[in-house]
Amino acid sequence: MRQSKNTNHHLIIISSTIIYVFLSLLIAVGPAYVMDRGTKHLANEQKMTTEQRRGFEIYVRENCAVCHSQQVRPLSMDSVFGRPSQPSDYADIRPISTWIMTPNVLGTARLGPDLANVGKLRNNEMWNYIHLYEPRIVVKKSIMPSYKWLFKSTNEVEEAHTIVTIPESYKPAGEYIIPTREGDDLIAYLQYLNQASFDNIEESGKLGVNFTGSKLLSAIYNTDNITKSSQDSISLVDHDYSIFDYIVVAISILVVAVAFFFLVRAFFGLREEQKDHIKSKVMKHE
Amino acid sequence: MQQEENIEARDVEQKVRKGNPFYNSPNISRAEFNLIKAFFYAAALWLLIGSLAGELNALKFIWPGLMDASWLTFGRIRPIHTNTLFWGWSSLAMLGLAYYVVPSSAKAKLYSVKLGWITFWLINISVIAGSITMFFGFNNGMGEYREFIWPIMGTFILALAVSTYNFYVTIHRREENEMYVSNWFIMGSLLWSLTFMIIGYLPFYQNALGETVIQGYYMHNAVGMWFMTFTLGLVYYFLPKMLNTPIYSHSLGIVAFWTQLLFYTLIGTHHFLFSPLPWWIQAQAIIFSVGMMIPVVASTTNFSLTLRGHGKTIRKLPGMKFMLVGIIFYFLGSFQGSLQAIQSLNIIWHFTDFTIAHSHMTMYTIITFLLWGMIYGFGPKISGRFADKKWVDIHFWLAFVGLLIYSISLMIGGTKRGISWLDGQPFIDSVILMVPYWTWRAVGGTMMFLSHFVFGWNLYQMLKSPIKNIEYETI
Ligand code: HEC
Repeated sequence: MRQSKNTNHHLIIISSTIIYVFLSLLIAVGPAYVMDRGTKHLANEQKMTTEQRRGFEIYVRENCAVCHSQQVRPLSMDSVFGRPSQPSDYADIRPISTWIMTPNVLGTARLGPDLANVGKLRNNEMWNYIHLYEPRIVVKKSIMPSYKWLFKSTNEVEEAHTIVTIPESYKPAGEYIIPTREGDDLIAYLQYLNQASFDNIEESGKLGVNFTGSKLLSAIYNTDNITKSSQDSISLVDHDYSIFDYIVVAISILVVAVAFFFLVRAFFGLREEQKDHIKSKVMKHE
Repeated sequence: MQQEENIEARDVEQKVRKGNPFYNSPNISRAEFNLIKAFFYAAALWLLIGSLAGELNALKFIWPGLMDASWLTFGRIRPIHTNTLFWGWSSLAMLGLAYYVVPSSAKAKLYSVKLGWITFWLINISVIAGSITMFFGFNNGMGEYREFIWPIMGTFILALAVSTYNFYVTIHRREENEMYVSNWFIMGSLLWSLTFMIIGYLPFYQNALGETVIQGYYMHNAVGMWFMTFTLGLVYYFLPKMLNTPIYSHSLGIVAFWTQLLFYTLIGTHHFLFSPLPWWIQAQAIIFSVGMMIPVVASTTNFSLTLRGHGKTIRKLPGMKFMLVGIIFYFLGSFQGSLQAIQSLNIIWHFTDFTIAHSHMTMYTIITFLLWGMIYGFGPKISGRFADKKWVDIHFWLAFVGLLIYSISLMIGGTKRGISWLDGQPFIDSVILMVPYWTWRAVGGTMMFLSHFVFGWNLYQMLKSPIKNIEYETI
């Protein structure tokens, strides 16, 4: 019986899984831990209030992030939205509850504009209420959904209520539209999205990552450098490279080259393999 | 006329059957047949539900006021679309096929049919529960493909763990000395997926940007390690079987396996280029995204060389067209993905609908097409009935032309939108310019959606009842 070298399933399955776990720790869990523990608010940044946090929960519930990013890139095309985002901007992003974990606010799509700095760009509260109730009242060609369930219509208004100025054709005749508490909270959250100025950040010398947790991790991930180089990089293209960056890039290229070598080797072995195939077929027939 | 066609169809069947011992007997027990049938039926049902949600999403871009009840709003329906198709349709279809492939390629008996049913129910329960909770806005914090809250995803993870155990014992008790590369991929996929899912859901390092690091990793591994790796394992089995020829090269398969493991794991952060994540993570993700072409080239060459000289079977055997398109797009879609990770192109395409085109060219044209191809190729083996070739062709052309319309229009629109942003045009202009492309997307999407009904019908025709003289194995 021909003994083949890939017989041991334990070895293949377990070793590949160990490699996988190792790579995952290195590339995901480790850096995540550093960012988690290292991200702190800067002195001049406002913290989320209770009302704003409730609004944030509505933002998550309605999944606004599916259309809106909150991530200004260090590119000139993004400068309309604000200054480049930095880690401390996200220091308030924590789990919602026992059931709902830390939300993803950066997003991967801009079906609508970036909201990282919308509190500054759209600081008119009434505009926001109307827009949320029915975007097409204020932006005719908008494709954003209307969020009417964050409002109620009533004919008795108290002084404390904000009456949203909705044109007659968009609401039940003779009624007033007022936001529910959820509506108020969500607008409060949108106002929270207001980037602290960049000047102060440069003064402070840190971009909001200040990891002091473990010496080993600081060394592996070169955490001092994270703060320094991303601070200088308004564009990643003219990034201020450090030795650490060069090492990472060099190792990556080396690994790809080695893998490429194995691919080429397998290609060159193809013909031999075919001969073996035919031989083993003939043998089976005999 | 009708009769003639029927005769011709039967002719084809006969020829394929005679020429290919794969179709001689089902090689499974009746109990396994029932299990696999349940997996496929449930998968097809989720395919319909998930693409109905997708259809609604597509229409909302043309008529934003359409069905604007809270539980049907875009933000809630969109994750229902993706999650039912990921964890419902694709996962169930893959596992259904694997319940045949794992024992068969190991030449062993399946360890337990009962554990298979447990997996089946756990997955269905989790997808049902996940969809219902998301209607109510109860999602796990907007991270793509992590929208199920943890008890629900926990159920799904448990389902995978049960099947992993089932397969592991099956392989352990095999007679065949060598482990065929299919089972490398399938076992790897299961164990790696259990790992990334648990990492993705553990809360200890996910505050602030920690979450974003994990999100990139999770998102990419869901696609690369669960769907792609698993499906590759299945293709390494079914392609040669359907063609009645050995796989061209085992060693290319092994190169693909190890490089898949290496590269797909590391490149998640290419979903967050130019973000405030550390620069080195982004840099290595870009480099390895290029490296990702190595497993792709290894597998696609292997498949092409296996396909070479089988033009007749490709034309005649129902399902082979799907396989061919799936393999071609495995190359094209992956290549497109690597391009999108290059900084200068990422600047144009990131955040636009180009990404949506890409995800459909991969999750749909690679994964779903390959799954369809394999189901059409495999169904007749276990029931004795081929699907009507005419209807398989209708399914194929509806889905394929629909997909081309869908993705080409979004690629053009996405590129234009990116350029409009680069030019500094007002944002709303980039919304208006998309409208014709969104309309075409809905046209293509509707064709894809309709094709899924045809698939459901074909599946039913194949599996409704086995032919009379079929011989199942006795336990
Ligand atoms: C279908 C995608 C979509 C969803 C979901 C969505 N939006 Fe929008 N949003 C848009 C589009 C498109 C625009 C640009 C047109 C406009 O102003 O209406 C926009 C604009 C905005 C603006 C104005 C930004 C500016 O700078 O002009 C705000 C604020 C906003 N959305 C908030 C939200 C909130 C809060 C949610 C969730 C409750 C949400 N959006 C959900 C698509 C969406």
